[in-house]
Amino acid sequence: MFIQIKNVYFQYSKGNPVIKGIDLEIERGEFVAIIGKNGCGKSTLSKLLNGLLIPTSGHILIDGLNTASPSNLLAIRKKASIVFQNPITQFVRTTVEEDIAFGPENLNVPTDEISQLVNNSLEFTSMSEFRYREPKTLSGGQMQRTAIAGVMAMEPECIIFDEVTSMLDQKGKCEIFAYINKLKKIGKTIIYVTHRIEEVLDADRFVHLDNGIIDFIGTPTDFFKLDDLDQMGIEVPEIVQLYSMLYNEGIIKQSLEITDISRLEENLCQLLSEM
Amino acid sequence: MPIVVRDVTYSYSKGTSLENQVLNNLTFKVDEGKFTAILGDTGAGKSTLLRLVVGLLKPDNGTVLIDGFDAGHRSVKGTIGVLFQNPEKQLFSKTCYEDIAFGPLNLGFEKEDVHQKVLTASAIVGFEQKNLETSPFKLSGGEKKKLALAGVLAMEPKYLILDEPTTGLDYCGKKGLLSNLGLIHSKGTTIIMITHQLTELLSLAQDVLYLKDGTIDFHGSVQEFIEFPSSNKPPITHFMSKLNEHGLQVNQNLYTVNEAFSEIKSYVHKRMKDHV
Amino acid sequence: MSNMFFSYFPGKSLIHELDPRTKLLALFLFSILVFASQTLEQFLFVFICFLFIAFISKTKPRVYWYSLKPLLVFFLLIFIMQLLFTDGNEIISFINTSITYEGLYLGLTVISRFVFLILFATVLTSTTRPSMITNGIERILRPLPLKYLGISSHELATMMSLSIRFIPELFENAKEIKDAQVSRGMDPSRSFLKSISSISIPLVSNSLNYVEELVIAMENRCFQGQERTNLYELKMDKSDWISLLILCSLLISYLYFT
Repeated sequence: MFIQIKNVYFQYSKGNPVIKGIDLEIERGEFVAIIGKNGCGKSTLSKLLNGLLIPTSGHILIDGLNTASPSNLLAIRKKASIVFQNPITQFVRTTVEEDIAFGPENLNVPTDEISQLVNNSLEFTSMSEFRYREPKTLSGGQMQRTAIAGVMAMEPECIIFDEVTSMLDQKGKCEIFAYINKLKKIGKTIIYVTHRIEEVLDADRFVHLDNGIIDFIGTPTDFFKLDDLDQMGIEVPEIVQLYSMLYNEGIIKQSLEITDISRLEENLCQLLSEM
Repeated sequence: MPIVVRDVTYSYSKGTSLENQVLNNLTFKVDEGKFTAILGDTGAGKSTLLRLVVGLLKPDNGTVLIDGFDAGHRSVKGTIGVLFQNPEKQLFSKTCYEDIAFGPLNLGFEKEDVHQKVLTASAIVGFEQKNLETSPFKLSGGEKKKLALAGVLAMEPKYLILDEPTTGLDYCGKKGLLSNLGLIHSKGTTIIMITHQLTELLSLAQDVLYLKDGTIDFHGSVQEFIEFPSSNKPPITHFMSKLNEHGLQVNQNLYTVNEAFSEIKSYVHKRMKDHV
Repeated sequence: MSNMFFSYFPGKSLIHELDPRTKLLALFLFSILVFASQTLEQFLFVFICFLFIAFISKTKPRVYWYSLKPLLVFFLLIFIMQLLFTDGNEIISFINTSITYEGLYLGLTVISRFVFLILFATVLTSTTRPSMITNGIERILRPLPLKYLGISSHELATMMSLSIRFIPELFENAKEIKDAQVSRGMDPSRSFLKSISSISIPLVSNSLNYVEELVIAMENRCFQGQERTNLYELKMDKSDWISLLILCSLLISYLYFT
């Protein structure tokens, strides 16, 4: 098992636990979406995963390494790295290529290997033409691509995305999804934290967090069968809403897999036109 | 008198190698009492347009008139309320109360009037009374946004302009904000809201102004925008036109789930009857 | 929206291509030149030097104006001080004070000194990527025994590059706050002091948030300042040595003859 979370509690200040007993295991190559509304503890959980925060009790193992031991931290962060929400505050350097080089420089990679890593990451995220640009001249989507490239340059096995699209426009969001798909294809383990589930319909598993505890683990299709989604503060994509209404009314009798909006649309069109 | 933008052109960093024209010969009018959504990708010039309307920037060419006066003129002070992007980074007073009172005090209202306005504004946005005496920097992101909106509403502006106010809010926060805006609009305030997500505004907005590369690609009613051939279709509209491509003769120009559901339902029923 | 104060403008020129260390040393040499100048004739010579450098750097005149503009009030203040408080041959006299020929001369030379320092600094910043400037400084500082002070030249360079990254964000945020205040009926010219205090409080609070997120982002990418490698190892070319040689000989002969 790549990531093991065992009975983890966490609090920022005494008597105010944010994470209240979480057990979760994630396998290599899996795509897991951690969902929940603002303040449910999902960002805290993502920072716990690579030792940016240490559990108050319980423990987290990344590829067998305990995050609570300081000597493991560099190795853990090289294995599992986070892309954050705010594109501006995670831009450490003044140009795109220097920012991407920041990780490998810290890991003491020799100069010629760094430029190889930087070139590969730039190419992977299609940012080569922007390599000398400063952050303020980039769009939000391009900045987040730089952040992905910066993490890629450390060659992690697992990438954690923490609300990465919440400050982007539609175009920026599409850009980011394209690269997350690409990462999935090359076998990276992906943990995607968000409150917008329409972004993660193709996840292998949904983990729903409410007030610091996990109250659902399962496939997206099973998740949409829950009947109190609106009360949980979940925005169900409109096409899925329409499908559920048609299904409940008995107009559509077949239960459809929900993994992708356009595939769902296609299936619905097929079913309705065959009627 | 409405907001009139005529032949407006604007560029940044004039005279350097980074010169960048963001608005190109823009002309439009927003009538009083309307709720207008301004759509467009980042870089289309939405935020620049907002700054021109408020008078924080002066156009290179053309004019921006508010009630017949130049934008930024003394006489229109207080008639325009703006909620900029990232309002949570623009709070500045020691207490939340002072922050809301800032606008009305600047406009020269008496202490008692100001007090009334603060209470009314915080009630409209659902800001908790018990938090009025705390520091704005201690609030959560969603509460900070509410506070910033209350600060703008306390001036009781005739025109309310908002720049992507739902960014970063979750589903509940967004629903709350949008229903507040609906309420404010129903009381006669003209609202202009910059957004890149049309879907959330379809039930609220009356007009849509679509900016593309610094020019107006479309300006008209929401219904017209649904019928306008563009890639920026709401998901339900997109799905209904897909059904048509599959040979189902349903109305394409719908945009809510309920409308689509009853349309499909009645279509299916009709088909069943025909079969029998 | 964007702040053009000491910004970098990409381009192709001999000055753009030079090693940042050469340009930093050149700035240092030009500063000596500026401080050694006393008379208006000497400043004319400095001006010719500047024109020459500015010409080969192909930087547009407006870029220099962007650097000077925010400091104009400051220059004016110094000029007036010199004008009013220098004794000598009277030109015009007021009730208590008098404007003298010496005052005018001194005012002009003091201001020229500041203006030229800023102009030469602008040549450096407009032709050199900020990261390359910090890189250059880091390399120049590397031989110094900084570790006895408990820091490494890497940490110092990282600190500098972060400040360079941070300052425009501060400006931007200050402007955002001011815009919000103005749009809520404040007249910034009328309540100058009040607006300064009301901008600085949120600025500090927002900066703390910014720094907190930045630190987490740096830790996430394994930051450590003790021993690290660099994407660019700087290299001094033939053109670098020639430029420095020319500059040094110019400066020495100038100091010798004045």
